[in-house]
Amino acid sequence: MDILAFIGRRLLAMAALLAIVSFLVFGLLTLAPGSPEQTLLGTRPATPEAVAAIRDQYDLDEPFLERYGTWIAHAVQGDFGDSVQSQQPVTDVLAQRWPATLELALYAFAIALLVAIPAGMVAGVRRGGAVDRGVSLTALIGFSAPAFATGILLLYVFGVELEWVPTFGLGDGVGDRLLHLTLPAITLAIAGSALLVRQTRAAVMDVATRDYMTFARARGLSRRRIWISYALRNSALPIVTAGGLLLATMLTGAVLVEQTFGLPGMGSLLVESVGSQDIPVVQALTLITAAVVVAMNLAIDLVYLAVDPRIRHGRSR
Amino acid sequence: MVSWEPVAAVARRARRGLAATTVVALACALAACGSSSSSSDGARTQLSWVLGGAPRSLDTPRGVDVSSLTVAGLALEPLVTLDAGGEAQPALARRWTTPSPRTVEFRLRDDVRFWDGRPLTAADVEYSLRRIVDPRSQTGGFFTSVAGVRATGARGVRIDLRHPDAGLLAKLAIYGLVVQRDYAERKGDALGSPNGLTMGTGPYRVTRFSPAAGIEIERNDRYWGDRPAYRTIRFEIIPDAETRRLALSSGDVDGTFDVPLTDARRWSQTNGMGVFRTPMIAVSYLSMDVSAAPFDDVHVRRAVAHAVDREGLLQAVTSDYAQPAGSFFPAAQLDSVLGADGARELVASLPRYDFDLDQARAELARSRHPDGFSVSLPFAAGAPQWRQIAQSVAANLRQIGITVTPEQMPGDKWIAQLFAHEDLQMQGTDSRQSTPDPNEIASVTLSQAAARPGGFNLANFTTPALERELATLAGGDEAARPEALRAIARTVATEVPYLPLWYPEQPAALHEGLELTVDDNPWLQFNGAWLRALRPAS
Repeated sequence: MDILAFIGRRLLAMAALLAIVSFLVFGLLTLAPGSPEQTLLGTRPATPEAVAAIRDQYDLDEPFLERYGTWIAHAVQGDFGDSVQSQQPVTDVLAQRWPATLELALYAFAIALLVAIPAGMVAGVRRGGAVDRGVSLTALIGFSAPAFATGILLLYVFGVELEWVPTFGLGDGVGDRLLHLTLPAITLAIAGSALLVRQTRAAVMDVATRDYMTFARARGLSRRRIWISYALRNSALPIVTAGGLLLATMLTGAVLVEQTFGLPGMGSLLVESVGSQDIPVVQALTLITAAVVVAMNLAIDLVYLAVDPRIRHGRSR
Repeated sequence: MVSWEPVAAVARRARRGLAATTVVALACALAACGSSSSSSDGARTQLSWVLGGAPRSLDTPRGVDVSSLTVAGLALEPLVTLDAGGEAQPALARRWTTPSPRTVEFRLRDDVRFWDGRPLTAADVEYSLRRIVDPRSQTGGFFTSVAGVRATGARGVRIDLRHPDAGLLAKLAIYGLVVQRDYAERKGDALGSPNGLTMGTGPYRVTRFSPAAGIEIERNDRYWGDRPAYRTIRFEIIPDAETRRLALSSGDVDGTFDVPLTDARRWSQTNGMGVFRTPMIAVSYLSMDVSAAPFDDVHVRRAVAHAVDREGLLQAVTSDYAQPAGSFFPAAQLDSVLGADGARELVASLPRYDFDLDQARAELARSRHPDGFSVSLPFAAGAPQWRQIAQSVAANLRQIGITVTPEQMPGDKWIAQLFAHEDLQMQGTDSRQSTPDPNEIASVTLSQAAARPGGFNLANFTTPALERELATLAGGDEAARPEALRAIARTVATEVPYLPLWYPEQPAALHEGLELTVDDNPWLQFNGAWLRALRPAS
């Protein structure tokens, strides 16, 4: 019951936050320089018939709040209007782009988890040792290197010189897609892994010195049990937080990697749409980005509940 | 969700020798792929070509950008095409006659079918051309001479002109692409879009158009003309220039026309690919609006002419893929009327504006604005060479007291403000010509009719004497044209409403497995002529 109430409260907060963001996003159109009709027409000639048609299609004669109401009513059903640039429905444009972004983010996230968590755990437990110093230094380099620079470097070495991987695009079929996404995923994962390594190391360092860890080792429990059931589970909270926010960042902010590797994803769509003042697409993307971040925060909280019984049962005490 | 069906990329996969998905497969591939980066297969079935941006529309009245025309030129066909010398050759029209200077009658081939098997009729041509010459379309501005298009019988089409137009056939070759009327009416606004595609008679059929993932066209096995060389052509869209270069270098793609001029030197030095020059009839220039202060003063315009470092910019901005501009008219257009010697004489006789800041200051001092002024110079975000030009112009003009503010704007907005024709001040643009006829650029940039919204007389420069000379240049009296052309060229050079910068060339970059066999055709990018000029490297 408490859990349901907790989730209920969080969902309400989510909805309120998204409502505020959507209101601000909708106001973008009125803030854009030039008249809304000019912006929505794009390059099409501004004949009186075209202007009248645009005013009719977007209800520009209605007051602001009524227009917002219509827009948000359509938006929750998934109808964001038509893209100014291509006159395709915005949902079609998004549908062409989100698979690339989603697959890239999940692939990069998986790499980051597989690399960062074990490395961070080892570094945290063997604090001050050679491994710890090596891991920390690598993390520092990884975090400092800008994504477009490492991307181009990896592209040149592995794509052009060695020809192990293709240099751009998404490829066809599952195998080819994984091949095309490997280098971009590694590039995207570098900075994220660095962050995750540091978080994991800090969390594990804290746990490693606890009495129950010493006691578990003294009792002769298997290494696997100690590492996973004791160390990892107890240090999970900061790692889950960092990991969740990392996934949110990868889903919404991979534009440099997308540009470098020629991936048609949402990041490059946002840049193109802002550049060509394609307001309906920008509105939709901003709203979706906000929704992703808010949803990820909720997911993190739910994972907390699942992982840590102290939080699950905390309220009933 | 749009799904991407696999296309047989046998050549590429064989070269890399990869089938699996994991890092293990990558390690195996190292042994398998060897060192070959050139094409080893004899009969190429697929070509992979790169576009720097997505086509705006495959429907020509709505898509006149080069990306759109590159794809549409393989799928849709015109009545005539241009050969390397600029002469019209039969395409969909078997022959044509000009019963009067203001009438052209075409006779269509009778063996042409659309991709769906239906025959081409005069009704389809009439429908297509009417949409193309419509002043509300993006192509309408090129066909202001056309009064009407009419189908005469099942195989005849007649075009009536308001006045003689020497460049009509060339413009029809590039922009007058024919679609099937029934299909177009059925698709309505979706024609040429990713949802509607198109229906044409060309050697390739459009099977997939995704602004994100690219375009695929397949060979039309029922094509009436020469058998197309490749089974499929895939147009990849790679906006980032560096990624484009690496993709070409590694052989993932075969070629592109979208070579950034500022980087062309580095591209030509990159392993695994070659850069070819192809000619263009074009001129890049700055315009100054003479209808409003401060550019209504000829001394101001001459001051600007002296303050722009054209030679330096040519080196820096075009990497030498351009020729210095001796006059506002592209060289080929002067040659066609005056002959090579006559053209050289004319250019030598024109006033010169060498890069000399002292002379610039002197001219400015003689003007009504001796203390300088402020002006903005807009350019499109997707045109990096214009950013460099704007910055250089700003830096140089600042030294004589003129403040130029480069103003970057989205490509669409830049075009829109050009078409709106309001408060133009200083503008910069490249003007690509379809014909070697000087009347083409003259009528479009110097006539009174073009000094209004939608027109390209960006300097709003017009005098009664100039209108008379333009009429002579456009008219049928061949003997009078050379003197008219000389007079116009002198007027432009003296009054400087337009400051010509250079005549750009069109570089093409190809992976080392391919070469371009043609280097003298300024219309190579149109109607798929580039495709026929590709050969495996010897």
